[in-house]
Amino acid sequence: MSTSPQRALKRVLIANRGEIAVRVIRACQELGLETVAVFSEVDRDAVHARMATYAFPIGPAPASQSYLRMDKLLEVAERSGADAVHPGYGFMSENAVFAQAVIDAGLTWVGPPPSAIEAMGSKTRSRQIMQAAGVPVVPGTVEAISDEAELMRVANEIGYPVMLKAASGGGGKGMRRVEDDKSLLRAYVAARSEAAKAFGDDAVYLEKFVVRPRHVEVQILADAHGTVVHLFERDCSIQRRHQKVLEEAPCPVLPEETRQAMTAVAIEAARAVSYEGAGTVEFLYGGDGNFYFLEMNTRLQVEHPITEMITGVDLARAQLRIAAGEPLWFSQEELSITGHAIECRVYAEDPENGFLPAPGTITRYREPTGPWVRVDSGVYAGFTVPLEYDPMIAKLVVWGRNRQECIERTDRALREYRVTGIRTSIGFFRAVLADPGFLAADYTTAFITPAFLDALSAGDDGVERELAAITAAIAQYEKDHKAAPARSGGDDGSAWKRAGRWHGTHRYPR
Amino acid sequence: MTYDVTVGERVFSIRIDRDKAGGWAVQVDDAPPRHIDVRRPEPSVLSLLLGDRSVEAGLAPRDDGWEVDLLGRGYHCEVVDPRRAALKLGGGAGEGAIKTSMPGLVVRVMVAEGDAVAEGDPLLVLEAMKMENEITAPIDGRIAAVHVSAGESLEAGAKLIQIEPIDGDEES
Repeated sequence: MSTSPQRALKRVLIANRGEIAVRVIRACQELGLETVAVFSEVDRDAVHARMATYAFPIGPAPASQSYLRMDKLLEVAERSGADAVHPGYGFMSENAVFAQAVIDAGLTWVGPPPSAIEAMGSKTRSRQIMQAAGVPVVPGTVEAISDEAELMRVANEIGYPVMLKAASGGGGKGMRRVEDDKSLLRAYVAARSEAAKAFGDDAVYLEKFVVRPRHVEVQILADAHGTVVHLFERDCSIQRRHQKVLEEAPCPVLPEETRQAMTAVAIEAARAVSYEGAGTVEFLYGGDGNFYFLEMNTRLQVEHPITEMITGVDLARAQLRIAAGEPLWFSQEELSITGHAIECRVYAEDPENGFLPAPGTITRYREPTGPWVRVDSGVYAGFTVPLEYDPMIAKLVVWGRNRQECIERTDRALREYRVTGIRTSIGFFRAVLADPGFLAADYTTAFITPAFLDALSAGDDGVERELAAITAAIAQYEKDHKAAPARSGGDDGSAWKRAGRWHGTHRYPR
Repeated sequence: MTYDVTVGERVFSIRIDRDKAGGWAVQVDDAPPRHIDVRRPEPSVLSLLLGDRSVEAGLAPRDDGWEVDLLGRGYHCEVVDPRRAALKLGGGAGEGAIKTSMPGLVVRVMVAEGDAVAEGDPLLVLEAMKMENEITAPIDGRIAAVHVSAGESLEAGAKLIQIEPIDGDEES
């Protein structure tokens, strides 16, 4: 593709849903491109289907019958007259076969070449490629382990704690930390089962658990003409079940020389697979200052907006322009970090109850606004969060001149964020932002401990609970008396009315 | 009108009445009563002025009361009218029933009727929103009934497993 001439895009099919489909539609609209949305049976009302220029149904709610159906997506691409396909993240975004099929259909694939997706798609293979390119990797097996005795031997050789990881995995699924021989086999069986379910591949490998690790990743952009730049790093260490929940950019503890080394390695990694478009190279940054290659995500990341906030580069627009064959319109030297940005991934789940998913209908929805506050979302009051997809409903992204200001502003925005009808992680983020370890930027991927969650569930000193109880009692009273013919005239209310004011010591018989 | 409102482990006895000013007089437990001005600016929002403190709360009805959200946190408030509660006594049978709070798919069932389990033992695995969630035994006990099987789709509130405590001083 590196010799391909510029292709003028006109109409882009977005093979995704939710906030990322909305994000891509925005970029397309700014560039004057028409958009083609696809929607499953439960998403006819969804924001992306209403925002796009065209919208096509692609089947029943389960993703395997809609958003993951290559044949249907290609059929809609043809019927709609789209000349490009943007996959968003998740779903088909890292499917090399789909990318190739899009290209074979004569369309522009807004993403890296299928060969790069394939090379980085298997964690085992990407490790080999990175090692060959001289990129540091975490000690462990390169091959998937299929033999229990071998598993035991390798675990003891590299030393506990170790991590079990799905070879085709991502997002923490199929991942297990193991402390000793005793729990190794059970974790192995569980990791394989989860990997098979999530990725259709039960291959699992083993690697050393790096002590006091942070998850730091580098954003890169590469054009079709051999130019690769980095857009600095993001710290994504605040995770639950190995899934990122809050990210910040830049990484608040990265020494400048480490930043330079890490970004240089990221560019090497991209070059090693002849990368094009937006990509992310993920590293484990150990407490000892060493960093190791984890994987490369060959797509736009969920957390890309914080990089946009500190660099001023619109990554979704950049993807489309690069896909159209345009050479990069800025150089590495022109890029710099301005201020600080934080993203909170708002999930429909209950942090006080083991982060259990909390699907349901949103009855009230009000997003925060004000200076330097951005919300990428795909929900509204009246929207039912479907059971079938990822429970993330929105991303709150906030910029500040420095980290402190950014934290204060993020907390302010969280206070403004109103979601009624389902539980969300909004309150949880306020607890994270108030945590002394977070404020001091002294945290690791193990930040969310059982103790942290216990403190969250224990909650406040009871004031908020009392307010909630009062609210509920008033609501109940209104409900109980709505049916009554004339309001509040009767029974125990009237005596009180006649008294006209309270007597503090007065107790009422029940 | 008095309600018993349970939030987490706390039970509040809330005496509530309209007052002359068109607002509400609210007394919580033994605390002095307070005047509260209440408005409903949106269908599922209550705006409260407690004295001069402004509080905005979101409200969603639940079977046993209300889900109230304040500043990003949800509070499940079970509301009981003590005068009516007496009528419901003896309804029973809820003891030891493990239910699912979310809709989902049963991936695996690890126990069978008659099994003895210890607190924390895995009972079954539920999948919702692509995540597997292990449901564990809340108490030491014996499995009295298994209501679901692998592959089954469940609505929120569905009964999963009936567990009965095993302890020496059980009534016989």
